[in-house]
Amino acid sequence: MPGPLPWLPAYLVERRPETAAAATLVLGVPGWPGHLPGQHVDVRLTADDGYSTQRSYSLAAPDHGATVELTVQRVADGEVSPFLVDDLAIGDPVELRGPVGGWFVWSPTLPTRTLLVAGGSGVVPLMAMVRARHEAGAAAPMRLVYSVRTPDDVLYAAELERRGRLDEGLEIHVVHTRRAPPGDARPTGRLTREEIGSLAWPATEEVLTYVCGPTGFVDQVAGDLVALGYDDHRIRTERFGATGG
Amino acid sequence: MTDEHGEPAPLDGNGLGGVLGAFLGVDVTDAILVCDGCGRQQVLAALVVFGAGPGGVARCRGCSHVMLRVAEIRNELVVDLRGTTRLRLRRP
Repeated sequence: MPGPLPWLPAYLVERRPETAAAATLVLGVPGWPGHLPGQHVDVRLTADDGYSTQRSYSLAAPDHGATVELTVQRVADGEVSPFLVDDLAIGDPVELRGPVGGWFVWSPTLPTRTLLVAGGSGVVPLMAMVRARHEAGAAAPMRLVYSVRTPDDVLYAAELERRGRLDEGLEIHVVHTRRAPPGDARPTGRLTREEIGSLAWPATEEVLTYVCGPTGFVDQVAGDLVALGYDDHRIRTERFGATGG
Repeated sequence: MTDEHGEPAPLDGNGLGGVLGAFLGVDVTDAILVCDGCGRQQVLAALVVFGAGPGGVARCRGCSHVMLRVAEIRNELVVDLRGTTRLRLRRP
């Protein structure tokens, strides 16, 4: 980080619906300094009367210059997310501060295996890692375990299916907690410790792990990984509240 | 942001990275803090945080001791570090 983080003016360039409740916002940010997979930004909205509010959102794509992508999940009674998902118009301004975070970051140059575990929209910063690995042509193995309520809630579904099929060394496992697609052999329900153990590499391997999701999910998964023998210091976590506001 | 009981849902220290970085000019989410209550070492990103954004209270993930309070008030950042015995920063 070259100096104090200023608020940067940004403009909505494109909105891509991802699910019924989530959209990816592509924002143009003149002077964007670049970022690493896993980092987030603070977004500030200011009303005409001067009232201002801010939220943190993960960056969904690797560094592509002066545009950044945020995937925002609409929280029903939220103050900010319904506005961003439904109402912000092309060309409308917001302010961004970032990139933020030097801990929950991944680099395609890491030689080790990477385990990614996502709960719900916690997949967003992990998707930036999957995409960065693809763009860099990185060879180190990566596994994404993505826990989500129903098939309709899967973010980036088509791209994840494609990446998992085409990217050498990448495995994608989507587990459904409420409703599974027809033909899915796995019974619906939360990820169990045994299941994490079967999807993850053995704890004897050198693995760097990133877990992102709601607080309860992250605490559960991180605790399970430690119980399976994973080194606490090799598990990086990012939690959000109920789901962002 | 509330949980099912209407209480504010906790975030983690990643959420304080923006306001601290804005004033300090360095990322501190990977800074190591030692809890004054139980002696646990943890990175800022792992602390339990209530009310991130312009300010918040960060508690130890081990014993819930308050380790850090942050408030952005107009042009000032106020950081209260009572509860933290040691703060270790890497050279940027």
